Order: sequence, then C-alpha cells, then structure tokens
Amino acid sequence: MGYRALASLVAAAAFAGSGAFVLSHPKSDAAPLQPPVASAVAKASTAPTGKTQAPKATPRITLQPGVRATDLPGITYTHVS
Amino acid sequence: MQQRAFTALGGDCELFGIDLAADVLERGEAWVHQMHDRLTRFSDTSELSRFNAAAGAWVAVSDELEALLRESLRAYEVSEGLVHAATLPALLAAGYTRDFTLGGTPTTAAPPPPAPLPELLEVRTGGAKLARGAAIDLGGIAKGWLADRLAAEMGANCVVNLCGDLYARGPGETGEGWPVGFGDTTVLLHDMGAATSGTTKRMWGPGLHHLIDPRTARPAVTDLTEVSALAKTATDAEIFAKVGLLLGATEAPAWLQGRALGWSLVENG
Repeated sequence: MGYRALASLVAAAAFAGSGAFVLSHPKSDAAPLQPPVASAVAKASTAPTGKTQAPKATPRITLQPGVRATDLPGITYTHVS
Repeated sequence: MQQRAFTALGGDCELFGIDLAADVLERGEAWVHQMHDRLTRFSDTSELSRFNAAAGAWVAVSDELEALLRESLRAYEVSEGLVHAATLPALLAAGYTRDFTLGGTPTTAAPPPPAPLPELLEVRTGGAKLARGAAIDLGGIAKGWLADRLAAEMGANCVVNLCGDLYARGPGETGEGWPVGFGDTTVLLHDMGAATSGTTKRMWGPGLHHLIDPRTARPAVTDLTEVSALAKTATDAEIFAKVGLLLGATEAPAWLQGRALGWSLVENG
C-alpha cells in the first residue's frame, strides 16, 4: 500500500513537472538558430572581393568620360583617413 | 607586382609597382616616414611645428615644406577659400590637440574665422612667413602631395596610397589602368589621383570631427558624411573631395562638374 501510494505520487509529480516545463518554454518561430548559421552564411556571401570600400550608405557615383568602372577587384582603395 | 604596406601619417599606406628597380619600395617607405617626422604637428621638434612657433617672422624652410606651403596657397585659390591650411587654431579649439589615438581634449571657445590664407602666409624661395597668431595644419594636402611626388619618383608603373589619398601612375598590370576601389565600385586609373574626405572616422564627440569649415572656424556641418574624388593628381583629388564635403549634397555636384574626373557622395543616414 505504501509503495503503491509513493509510486502514484512520483508519477503525478513527474506529470505536473513536465507540464510546467512545457508551459514555461513556449516555441518561438522568431528565435535565432543556435549556432547562428543563417546570419554567418549571409555575411560571408556579401563580403566584398578585392579592396573596394563598403560605405555605410549607398554612394552616388558620377564618372566623367575617360574614367571606366571595371569588374576587376581593386588592389587598393581610396578612403577616409 | 611588387607591393609594400606600412603605417605612417596617422594611417595605413600601401605602395605597388611593376618592374620597379631594387629597393624602390623600401626607399619609398623610408621617405614617407621622414616626411611624416618633418610635417607632423604632434611633435614640437618637427619642421612644421617650428615654423608655426615662429609665426610673425621669416624663417628658412626646406624644399619640401616650401613646396607644400605653395601648394596650400594654390589649394586655397582652387577651392575658392574652402581648403584653408590655417585652420589649426580652430582644430585645437575643437579638441583635436594630440594624436588621434589618444582621444580628443575638452573644447574651448572657437576662434574667429581665419583671414584669407594669402594674408596669413607668405612664401619665397627658401623661406616663409606666417602671420602672428596663425598656425598651419597641412592635413590631407600633405598626403596628396606626397603621393603625387613619390609616384613620380618610384617608376613608370606604380600606385602610391597614403592613408586613402592615392596616385596611380602608368597602365597597371593589364595595360588598361590600375583597378582601385572608389565608393562601392572599382575604377581603372591611369595617371590619376583619388582621395576621400569624411566626417565619421576622426570623430571624438557629437559634431566634433577634424574637418574644419573655414567660414565658421568650427567642425563642418554638412549633409554628406563622405566624398571621394578623382582628379589629375592626388592633391587635386584631395582638394575636390574636401570642397564637395563642405558644400553638401545639393551644391557639390555643380562645383565638381568640370573640375573632378569623378566623384562619389555619401549622404548622412
């Protein structure tokens, strides 16, 4: 009788505890992946090749005739010092 | 391609060349360090500091300082007064009194806007005179001029980049020009200079940065954070970039048109 009551008590406590754990850990679709694989991939894919400056805002560029843009990576770049 | 990177003039410097004579890059770096020591305002014993300390009297100056002072007067004329080498008192009042890595110091009352540079600075062969109370900071003009001068010495196919002020001489590796980052693109430069002026890097407090507007003797208030320019020389590119920044997004394009070979404007926000 004593063992049966103790076993019932343990089972009831485990049931209540697991319920409480679930309620205190709700699922969030917005939660970040751990480790943050997605953002690392995004950063790597947008990393510039060559030495071309990456300003904070998009620059408005005007080139006069005689100056050509190129797809080659820059060997160096002009920047604020 | 031969290349060499080092730190001088308060920033990163790079030299590139093709078919250069032996030791050219090493000698180029040594010359830049030597010029830094002579032209820095952060050492009381530099030639520039001694020249500033002697304001009010004629003093003998080296060929290099004489050339740079003449270049400062030319920059003042070309920029219609916006590139003014005698804004050092205003820069000190704004708190830029020591090497930038040590941080700013408390601001003091801004001096009145400086008189026109030709009224403050006289240059003759082997000598120069600064008006009493005036003081010179060569800043970007020195970097541009040194890049032009070093590229002319290094060889027929080279690039000299001194803290972002650069000159690309010759056709580069492909024969079409040297590929150089400009804004968010890359351009091919052949016998051209490039420079960038901005308010965000040397900043030590809200509205406190190293670009002094000579019209107010205070750090410039502008809607541009960064302007890059292309020109026939690095010195002119430096002048154009600084004027563009001081004029702001509305006026800069019209001023740069017909002067610069290209420009990149980055607006606030």
